[in-house]
Amino acid sequence: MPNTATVFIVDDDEAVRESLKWMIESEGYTTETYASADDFLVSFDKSRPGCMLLDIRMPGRNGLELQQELVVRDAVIPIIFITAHGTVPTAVRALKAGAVDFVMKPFNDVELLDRIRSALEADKRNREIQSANAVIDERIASLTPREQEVMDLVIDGNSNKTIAAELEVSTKTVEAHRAKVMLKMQASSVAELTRMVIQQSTAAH
Amino acid sequence: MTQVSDKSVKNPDSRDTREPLLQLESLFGSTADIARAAPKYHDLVNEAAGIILLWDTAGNISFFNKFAQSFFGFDEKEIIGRNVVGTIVPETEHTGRDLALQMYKIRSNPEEFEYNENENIKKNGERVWIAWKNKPVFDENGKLSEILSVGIDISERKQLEKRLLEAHDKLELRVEERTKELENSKKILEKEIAKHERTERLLKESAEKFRTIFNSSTDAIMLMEGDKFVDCNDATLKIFGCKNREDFLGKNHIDFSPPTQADGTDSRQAANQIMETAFRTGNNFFEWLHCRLNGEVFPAEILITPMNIIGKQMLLGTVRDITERKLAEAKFEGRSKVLELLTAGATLESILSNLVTTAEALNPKMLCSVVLLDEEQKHLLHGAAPSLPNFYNRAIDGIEIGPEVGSCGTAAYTGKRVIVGDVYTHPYWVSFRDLAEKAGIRSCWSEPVSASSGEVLGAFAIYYREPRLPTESDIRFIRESAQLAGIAIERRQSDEQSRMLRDELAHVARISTVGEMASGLAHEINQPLAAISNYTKGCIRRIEKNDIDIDELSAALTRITAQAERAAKVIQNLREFVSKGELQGERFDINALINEALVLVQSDARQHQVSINLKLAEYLPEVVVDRIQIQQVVLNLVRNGIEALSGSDISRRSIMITTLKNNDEEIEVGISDNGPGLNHEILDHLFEPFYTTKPTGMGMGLAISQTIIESHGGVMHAEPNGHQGLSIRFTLPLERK
Repeated sequence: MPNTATVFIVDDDEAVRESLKWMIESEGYTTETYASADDFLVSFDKSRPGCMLLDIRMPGRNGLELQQELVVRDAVIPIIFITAHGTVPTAVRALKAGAVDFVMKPFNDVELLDRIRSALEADKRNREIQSANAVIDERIASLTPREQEVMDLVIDGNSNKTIAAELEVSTKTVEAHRAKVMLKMQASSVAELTRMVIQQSTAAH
Repeated sequence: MTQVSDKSVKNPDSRDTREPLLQLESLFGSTADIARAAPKYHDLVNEAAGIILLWDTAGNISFFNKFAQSFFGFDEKEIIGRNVVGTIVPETEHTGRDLALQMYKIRSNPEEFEYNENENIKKNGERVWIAWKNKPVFDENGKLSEILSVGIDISERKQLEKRLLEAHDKLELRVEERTKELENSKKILEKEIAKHERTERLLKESAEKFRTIFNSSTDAIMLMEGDKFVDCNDATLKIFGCKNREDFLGKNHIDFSPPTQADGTDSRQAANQIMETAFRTGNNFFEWLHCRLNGEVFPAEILITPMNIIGKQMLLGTVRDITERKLAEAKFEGRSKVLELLTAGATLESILSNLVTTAEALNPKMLCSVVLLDEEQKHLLHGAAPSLPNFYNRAIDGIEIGPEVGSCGTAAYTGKRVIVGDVYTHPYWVSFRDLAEKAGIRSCWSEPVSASSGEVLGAFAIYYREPRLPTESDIRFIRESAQLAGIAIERRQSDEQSRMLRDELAHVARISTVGEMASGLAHEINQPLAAISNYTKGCIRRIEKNDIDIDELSAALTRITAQAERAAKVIQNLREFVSKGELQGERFDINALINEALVLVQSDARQHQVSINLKLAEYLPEVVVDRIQIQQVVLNLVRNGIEALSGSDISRRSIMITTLKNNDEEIEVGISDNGPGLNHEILDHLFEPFYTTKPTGMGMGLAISQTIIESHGGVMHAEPNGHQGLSIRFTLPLERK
């Protein structure tokens, strides 16, 4: 099951929660329901793929607060907020905080299911990127400090000669390091190497 | 010898003393002659067994016979020529008499001392008593020259005399003592007599006093022997309505008691018990229903005391007619009860019923009623008449008042008291005669009931089953009763007005509350609608895909129904909540009532992330309340709590609602938050109208809530909730009169 995308439904109103489950499952999705933010957090595993359908207004920890907590926990799961008339400003705040979407009650099933599909796709994509980044991370980690210095200077567009001068080594030595970097990073060109490193650095921040 | 002087027998008292002298004289004739006849009779005189001497006017002895010599112990030589005083006569006697003076008197005037007794003395000093016969001896010229004294020893006699005297004295003493004793006894006796006389007088006075008390007492006093009255005072006859003593004496207490007492017990049984107690404890004081000779029942206060009179066991009874007092008491109690009911918020119907019942209790033969005037002031309305038959009350209800419409119709119309002594003959009753006959009433007195403004509100009436005219006391009673009814009706009317105002205010407050809660309420309706929509779409999708599991679909449809009901319930609650309810006392389970109210406030709580926790006691008795108003109070308090919590840490915001049974009389509802709480200054003003700590709000919520609770007979107060937050509690009485 860990690899099955799941729609996590968090709503304190049992009827709303269970009816959402019923409707979403009709489309073949797997769902899990939680009555409160805390219930959800207890069994939360950020490695599980899926998306969240989260009620903004709940007693105890509300939807926005749960969202904050997930950011703190470095979770990437997409959140669709459930809002009602009168909670639109809150929903805007949620979007600014990184939520993918929001739906209003009563729900338009087509719209909701559409958003769930999008969210799940986004999650899948995120997770692919995340796992790609993890590979690059690993490759970077395998470089020696000197090789990393060389790589940084290569990405910055320096020639071997300039690098040799900068590092006060011979051009030959730079070439050897450079070949090692390209090998360890599995890059076929400097352009590919540059793309890998830049993507990684933006994902990290 | 025969010349015995007449004087010699002059003193018969001294005959004993004179005897020997007389004998001598009879022997010798005059002793003086004998002396002169000396010496011829010298020896005779000398030898004579008596004292014979001659002494001159100077007191000197000139002759002293032999007997005298041997008697006194002086020989002739020693005595002749010597004065008698100092020799044979001592200067003073034992008795204290001056003998020298006595001797002088004798020798100066011997004729006066023919017989003389005095104490003498012998030479050896022995004192002797001698009785003397003195005879003057004259010379030739007839001049007194000497005195012849013949004496005999009377010492023994004197001794005897002395003893006699002593004996006499003793006797005298004894007599005196005896006399004294007698006198004492007499005095004692006199005292006794006086005492007896006094006692007798007192007894007489007390008997008179008693008789006066007995007869002038306003209490009936009677004596009972066995089971018959044997004596009684005048008041007894008056109280029991007897013309003379024969009406009363010979009868007993049962003859003058109704068959049963006020509490329904049999009079005879009750009396036996009371008497038994009296005999056991010495007396018994109690209240009793008696009846007069004509059968009229009256309340009495009785003291019975068993006593033994002339050996007979009797019962002394004092009976006080307490009709007036009872009447005053009952009036007072009736008045208190009505006022009490008024303040307790009883209905007008029950207050008037109570007034009538209390009045009727005063006199079992009396029937009372209160009729009211309708708003138009044109028709009578049934008020209270528990003892009149229903058909009668129904017939009266709605009658148009007028100048000659029975007693009450007329009284209400004219505003004046109407006395109808006999409904069969009175013109006002012409159209009601049959009705009265059917209802078994014969007389009817009616007093208009007026407001303090003078406006007629109705009438209070007294009915009897026989023709009857009121006494002064009856008039007073009917007037007072009507006044009391007036107070009750007027108070209730003003209560009614203020209740309507209060209800109106509460209604306005509810509508404004609903306005404030609109978004929350919309959400509350939206939730089930959303759920219904989801379930429905889920069903449609499955059907379209032909992915049909009948059980699943059926379950979903059931849930749809439940959610539809949920939405309907919210709307129903809301509609009732804003409805213009009248204070309707119905029995409700307070817990269910709270849960219903929470439906309306749930979304508010969610929005503010406040959790509402319930700690409701199980098996609470139901309360008689106006559901809507109590729910309004709960809603107000919960909403206040939610607002108070708006600044608190989100994870801690909670409101606790508790119910519990305080005691047999009330249940208590508590609504507490764990917010910042309020300081004492604010707490003091919390329930005042227009007092608010909120930037928006009228400050009416709590004031209205408190008014609602108080109109239900409960109390509401606020206090700090432990160390944090505010707790507002209110009580609701379990039994409303």
